[in-house]
Formats: sequence, C-alpha cells, structure tokens
Amino acid sequence: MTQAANRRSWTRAEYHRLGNLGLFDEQRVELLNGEIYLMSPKNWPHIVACRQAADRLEAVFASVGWLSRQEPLALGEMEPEPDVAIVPGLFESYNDTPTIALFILEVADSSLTHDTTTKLELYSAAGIPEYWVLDLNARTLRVYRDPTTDAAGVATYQIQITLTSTDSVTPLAVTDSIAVADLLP
Amino acid sequence: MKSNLVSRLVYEFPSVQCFLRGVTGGTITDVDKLQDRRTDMMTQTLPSKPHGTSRTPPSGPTPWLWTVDQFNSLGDRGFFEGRRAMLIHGVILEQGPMNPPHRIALELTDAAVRRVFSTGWRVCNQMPLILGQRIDPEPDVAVVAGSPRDGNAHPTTAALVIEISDTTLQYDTTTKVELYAAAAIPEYWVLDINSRTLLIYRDPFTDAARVSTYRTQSTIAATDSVIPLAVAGAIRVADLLP
Repeated sequence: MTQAANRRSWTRAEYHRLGNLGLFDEQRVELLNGEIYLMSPKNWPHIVACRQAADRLEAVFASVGWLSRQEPLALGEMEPEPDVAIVPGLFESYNDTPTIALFILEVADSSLTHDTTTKLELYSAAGIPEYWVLDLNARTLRVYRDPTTDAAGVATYQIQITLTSTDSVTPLAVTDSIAVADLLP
Repeated sequence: MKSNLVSRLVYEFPSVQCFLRGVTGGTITDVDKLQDRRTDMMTQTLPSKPHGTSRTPPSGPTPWLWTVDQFNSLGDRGFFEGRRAMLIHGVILEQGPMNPPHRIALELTDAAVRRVFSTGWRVCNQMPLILGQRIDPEPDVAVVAGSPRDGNAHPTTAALVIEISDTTLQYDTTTKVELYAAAAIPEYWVLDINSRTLLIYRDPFTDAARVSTYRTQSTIAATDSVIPLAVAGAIRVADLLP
C-alpha cells in the first residue's frame, strides 16, 4: 500500500556512510531522531564556558570516568555530540563510540529551548542518570536527574532543579561539590 | 487575450460557470475558495514529525538541507532503493512502493499523454525535474519540450506536470501546487484516483508576499475531456483512471 510521503529517517550506519562520502562538506552535524542537524556555530562565550566547565568537571570526575568534549555518543540510532560528557571507566578500554555516559552537560547560549526539550527527552530516554544545562543568558544551572517517563509515555527527568550562581551542587556519581559560579564565565 | 478574460471572470464574477479553453464541463473555483486554499497552503507544513519524539524541536540547530546534486548522488549510491524519493526545499521525502491502482494510472496517463504530445516532446515518468537548488519533486509525469538526446542536464521546467494522487492528495493539492506555481509550470494536473476526478491548475503567479498559486483551478469528472494548453489534442479523463 502506498503511503503518503514521509521525511527520510537515517540510521547511525547510514549517517556515518554519508559522512565518509564527504556529503557534509566538513560541516559539523549531529543525528537526532533520525534527522540530521547542523550544529550551531560556536561563539566565544560558548567556547569559554565549555572550556571552563570541562576543566572543573574533569577534575571532579577523574576517579570514575573520562571526559569527552563535543564528541559523539552512540545512543540507540542517535548520535548527539554533547558539549561535555563523562564516560565511565578508562578511555583506553573503549574501542568504539561510547554508548553510555554517567553525566552530560550542555552549554546553552542560543539553544536553550532545544537543550531543555529535544535533548532532554533524548538523554532521559537513553537513561543518562544526570544531565545539566548551563544557561549562559540567565546565568543559571539546570540540574536534571532520575530519568523516567511521564504520563503521556514521553521520556523526561523526574527531578528538575534550577540553581543560581550562588549555589553549589554535588554530581550523583562523585562526592565533590561544584559551585555554579565556577562553571559560568 | 483569452486567459485575461478568464482571469477577469475569476476575480470579478466568481460564481460564473464558463468554459476554460479546452475543458468540457466543470466549474471555475470561486475566488473566495481560492483565497481559502491559499491560506491552507500557507499553513500547510511538510510531514515533519520526527521519528521517536512527541514534538518537533521549536528552535535550536538548523536541519541539514540537501542540494539537488547531493540528492542525486545519494540516489546513485542506492540510498533510496525501493522507495520513491523526492527533494522538497532541501528535505528528502520518501514514499513506499507504488500500489497497483497508482501504477495502472501512471501507465495509462503516460500512454494518453504520449498520444497527444508526440514529436518534439518528452514524456518523463518519475524522473528528475530540477526546480531549484534544493528542489526535485520527481513528478509522476512531466512533459518536457525537446528530445531525449538533449544535453546531459536534467530538465528544469515542463509544459505540463501530472501527479497521480492516491494517499497523497492533500500534499499534491497544497504544497505541490505552490511548488509548481512558484516554478511557473504553466499547467499542473492532479489525478485523484479515489474520487475519479482530474484537478486542473493553470495560470501560475506569485504575489507580492511571494506566495505562489494557480489563478485558475477546476475539477472535471471521468466523463469529461481536457485539451492541454501546449498541444491541440483532447484527453479523456476516463482514459487515465484505473
């Protein structure tokens, strides 16, 4: 039976093949929900915030995992490239794109809505235990924990807290606390 | 002269029934309905529900958009095996394999069109029709002036485009109307195989707000005939239907 026209949905394998064929013209893309997106250009405040956050988080998580910066994670058929991810164990023991992460941080400059809706659903559906969104404009940190599904069956995080620059927070997987001010440029 | 008369009739006497050149029977769509259709077209969006989420991303990263060259390259590499793909404003849309009524209508329409468009015309089925850097709708039938040996480039216009509508009627009568009108395709037909009618669109234009549509739209029944704008031969709608 003929179906009405639908958007082509890409698998991870196809997405990689497209990249290898050079079809993305060296532009930065990621694969979410079967669709390919151009990643937004990184402006300087975003770059500064990512570096600062990465330095702080790497130290805090050193005993439990390694830090990945804007590198792909293979979550089902999706391949996001989070600003910061903590992957459990030793880097050397991985021989392919990691399929799990203990912790993810996205720095939100112009992408706040996307990071707090589409990406939130994606990461909670993948069971990422803790997800933070650093809102550079409002200068707040949103902390999401406890992946679950809501009444409509949509993946989300049970615990959602917004912290300000005077607050501190201890990530679930470690014992050191982090001041929100240390993450903000 | 005649098309001016028709345009005046459409705008000044919306409810007058009259003969369009080469069309027997049918009525002209009234202007108010034309306006409604334009509004519908403006709000029509591509099928856009991303697989696996409950809502489309409201803002954030830009979707990756393909060019015609990239789209052709993907086709050549077999990415669309068994699926009929088209490129609409940089987005790749696919349909499943054709069901028998669609296939039969396509073969009948091809044969009927060839009977009236003979020497000097190419009748292309589901082949590239490049209407923009990111647009290739691969219409069911496109009638193109020239001969098969003309150059290596794909056609960029057609005298007549025909879409056979089974499950895609909504899309064919909204998004595709705008697409073909924006490309100034002089004549566009939609064969509605379910209600067994032929929708005829003529006189494409784009307004100041850059919304494109066809000024003249009519619907004719299986018992009617139509003479295409470009040639002097009548096609019976019944000859197109499975």
